[in-house]
Amino acid sequence: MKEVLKKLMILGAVVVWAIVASACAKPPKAQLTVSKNQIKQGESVSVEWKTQNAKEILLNGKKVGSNGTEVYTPTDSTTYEIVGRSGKKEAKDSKSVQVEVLPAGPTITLTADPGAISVGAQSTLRWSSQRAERVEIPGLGTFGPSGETKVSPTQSSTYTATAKGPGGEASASARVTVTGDPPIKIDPTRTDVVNSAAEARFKTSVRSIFFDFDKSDLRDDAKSTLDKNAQFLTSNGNNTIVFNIEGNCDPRGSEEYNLALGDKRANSAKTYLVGKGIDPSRMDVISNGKRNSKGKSEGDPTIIPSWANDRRADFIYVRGGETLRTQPPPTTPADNK
Amino acid sequence: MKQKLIFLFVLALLFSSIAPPIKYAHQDGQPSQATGQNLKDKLTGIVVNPGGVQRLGTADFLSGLGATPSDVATFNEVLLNDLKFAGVIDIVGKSLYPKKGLSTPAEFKPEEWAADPVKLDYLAFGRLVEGQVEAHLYDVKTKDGLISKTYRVDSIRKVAHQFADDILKKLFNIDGIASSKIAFTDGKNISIMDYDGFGQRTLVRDGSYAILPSLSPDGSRLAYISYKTGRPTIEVHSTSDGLPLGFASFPRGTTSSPQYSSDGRIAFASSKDSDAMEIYVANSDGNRARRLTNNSGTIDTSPRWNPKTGKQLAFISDRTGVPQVYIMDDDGTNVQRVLNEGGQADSPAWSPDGQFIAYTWRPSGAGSSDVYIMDIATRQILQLTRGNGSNEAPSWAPDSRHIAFQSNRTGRWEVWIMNIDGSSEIQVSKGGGRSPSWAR
Repeated sequence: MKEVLKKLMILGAVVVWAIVASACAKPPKAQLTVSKNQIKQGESVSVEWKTQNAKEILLNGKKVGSNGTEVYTPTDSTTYEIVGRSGKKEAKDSKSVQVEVLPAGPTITLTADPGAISVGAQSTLRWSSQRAERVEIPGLGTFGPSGETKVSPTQSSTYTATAKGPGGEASASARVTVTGDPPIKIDPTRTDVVNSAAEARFKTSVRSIFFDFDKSDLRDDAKSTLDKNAQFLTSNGNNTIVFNIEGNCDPRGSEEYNLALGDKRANSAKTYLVGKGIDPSRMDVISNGKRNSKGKSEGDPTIIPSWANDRRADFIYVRGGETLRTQPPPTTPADNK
Repeated sequence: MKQKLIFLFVLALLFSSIAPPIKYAHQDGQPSQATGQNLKDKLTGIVVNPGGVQRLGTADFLSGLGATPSDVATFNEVLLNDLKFAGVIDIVGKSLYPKKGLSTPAEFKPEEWAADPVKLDYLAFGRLVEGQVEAHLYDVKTKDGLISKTYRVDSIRKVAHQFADDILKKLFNIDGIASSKIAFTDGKNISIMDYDGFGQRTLVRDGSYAILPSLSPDGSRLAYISYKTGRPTIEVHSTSDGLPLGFASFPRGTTSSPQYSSDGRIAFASSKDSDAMEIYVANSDGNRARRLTNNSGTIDTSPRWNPKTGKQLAFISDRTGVPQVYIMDDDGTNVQRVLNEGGQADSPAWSPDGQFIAYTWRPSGAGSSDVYIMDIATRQILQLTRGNGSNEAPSWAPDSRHIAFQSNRTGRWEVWIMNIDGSSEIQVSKGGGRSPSWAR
C-alpha cells in the first residue's frame, strides 16, 4: 500500500511539474530579414529567418527549419512571412519586397522568302516586331519596327534582325541559301583582288572620251581613244581587269535628265568596247549626271573647268589584272635625228 | 451664296477656255506653241478671285490673359501672309479699318466694317489667351458668324495656318495650302519645311549625293535618289520619323525620278534592264516593277503621275532627237507627244487637278531655263518665269493654284513659290535648296 502511494505521489509530482512546465514554457520568437526591400524584375532577394522556442516553423506556409536562408526571384511584389508555433502560441514576422516591373521587351520575327535563291536572284527579308523603336540588320541598315527589304547575297548568308525598344532588345535570324554559279564568267582568282601594278598601268593607258552637247554618239576622236583603250584592255595581264564606265554631263538641264544622259554616254562606250571583244561582265556602268560638273561656259575638253570637259565618260579601275613578270624592254634613248 | 459663287466660277472657266485656233510655229530658240494671253487670263482667273471680287478684312487678333505679345504678332503676320498668298480673295489694307484690332464678337459692329471706305464682305478677328486662340469669321453684310472656333496651340504658326485654311474652306470650299510642306535637297541631305519656309528640319542625313526628293501626295513618305551604294538608287523614308522604309535594290544601271501616285504605286526611270533609261511602275516597295517604255538607246525619264486620274503619266523622251514632253497611260499605251517646241524640255509636273503640265524649257544649248505651263486640253503654253537667272524643276502645290521651283537668281539655288500665272514669286528657302517637292 505504501508502495502504491509512493508511485501515485511520483506520478502526481510529474503531472504537476508537467502542468507547471507547460504553463511556464518560454513563448516562441520569430524574426525575418530580407536582403533588399526593393528589386527590379529578374533580380533575386535572400530571405533569412531565425526562430526560438518554436516547434513548428512556416515560411509563407511551407515548413522550414528553425533558422535558415532562402533565395527567391519574385516576379511580383511579395510579402515573406515566418510563423513560429509552439502549442497554441505563435510568433510572426514579415517583410515585403517591392518588384519594379520593367516595360516588356521587344519581340521580333524575321523570314526570308524565298529561303533559297540562285545567284543574282533576290530574296525578301520581312520582319515584324512588337514594342520596338527600330530594327537593325547588320550590313543592311536601320529600319522601322516592321518592314521588308530585298537582298541578293552572292553566297549563303544568315541575316539577324535586332529589335531595340525601351524594354530591351530581341533578335531573330533567317538564312538565305544561295545555289548555282557565281555570275562573273571570268576567272575570279585573277579578278577578285586589287592589283596595284595593273591599276597604275590602267590609269596611264585608259583615257576618258568626250561628247557633244546633249549627245551620246561617239565622235571620231572618242572612237580612236576607245580603240586604244580596247587594245590595252585585251592585252595580256590586263584582260582580266574589271572596271567602271562613269558617264558625266555639263550642268545644263535637270539632275534627272543628266542622269539619263550620263547613263546613255557610258552605255555608248560600253557597247563600243563589247564590239572590240571586251566581255560585258568586266564593265559596270554608273551615271554621275551633272554631279561632277565644273564648267561655266563651253571651252574645250582640255580646259578644266569647261562644259566640253564636263561631257565625258571616265574609266575607273575596280580590280583584277596581273603583275607582269617580264618587264618591258628598257626604252632606248630618244633618237635625235 | 456658295452656289452662286460656284456658278460664277464655272461660268468663268467656261468662258476662259474658249480659245482661239491654236497656231504651231516650230522655231528653235523661242517657244511658240500657241502661247497666248487667253491662257494667262484663264490661269489668273483660277488664282485670283475665283468667286468674283470679294473683300476680306483681318482685324488684328488681340492679346488676352496669358498670351505673349510675340505670339500675337506672329499669329497676325502668318494669317495675313497665308491669306494674301492664297490669292483667292482681296485682302483689304489695315489702314482703312475703323479699328486696328478686334477680339470678341461682342465688340463687333458690322455697320462700321460695311461702310465706306473699308466695305468688307467678311471680317476675321479674335484673341489669343493662354494655350489657345479664339478665332472668328463673320459675314459683314448678313452679320452671320461663319466660324467661331477655339484652337489649342502647340505652335502658333500652325494655328494661324489652320485658321487660314479654315477660312478658305468655309468661303470657297478650297483646300488651302497653308499647312502644306515642301521637301528639297541641298545636294547632301533632304530637308522639309512649311510652305512659307519656316519650320525647316533635316529629314534624311544621306551624306553621299542626295537628289530628286519626292513626297508621296499625302506627305507620309519621301523617295529620293542616293549615291550611298556608289550608284544612283532609290531610297524611301518615312517623313514622320525619318527612318528608312525598305525598297527593292537594283544592282545595275542608273535609277532616278521616283514618284508616288495617290494610290501608293511608284513610278521611276531606270536602265536596270537596258542600255538607256526606261519608265517603270511598281508597288510602293519597288517590287513587281512593270516596264512601260521600250526604246533601245533612247532616253525615257522623269515620269510624273496625273494625280487626278492616277492612270496617266507625263514624261520626257528624246526619241525624236531632243527631249520633249510626252504623256501615256499607266500601261504604256496611248503615247502622245504634247510639246512640239524643239529646244530642251525637262522636269514635267502634272497639276493635281489634271488640267495642266508645268515644265522647264530652254532654247537648245542655252545655259538657263524657265518654267512654263501647258493647258493639256488646248495645248496652249505660257512662260511663267522670265529674265531672272535659271528657273527649273517645277512642283505643284496640292491646291493646283501654286507652283514651287528652283531659281539661282540670287546667285545660289533656292526654292521659290509663285501663282500658276507666274505672279507673286516668293523665295522660301534661305540656306540653299533644289528640287522642291510640295505635298500635304
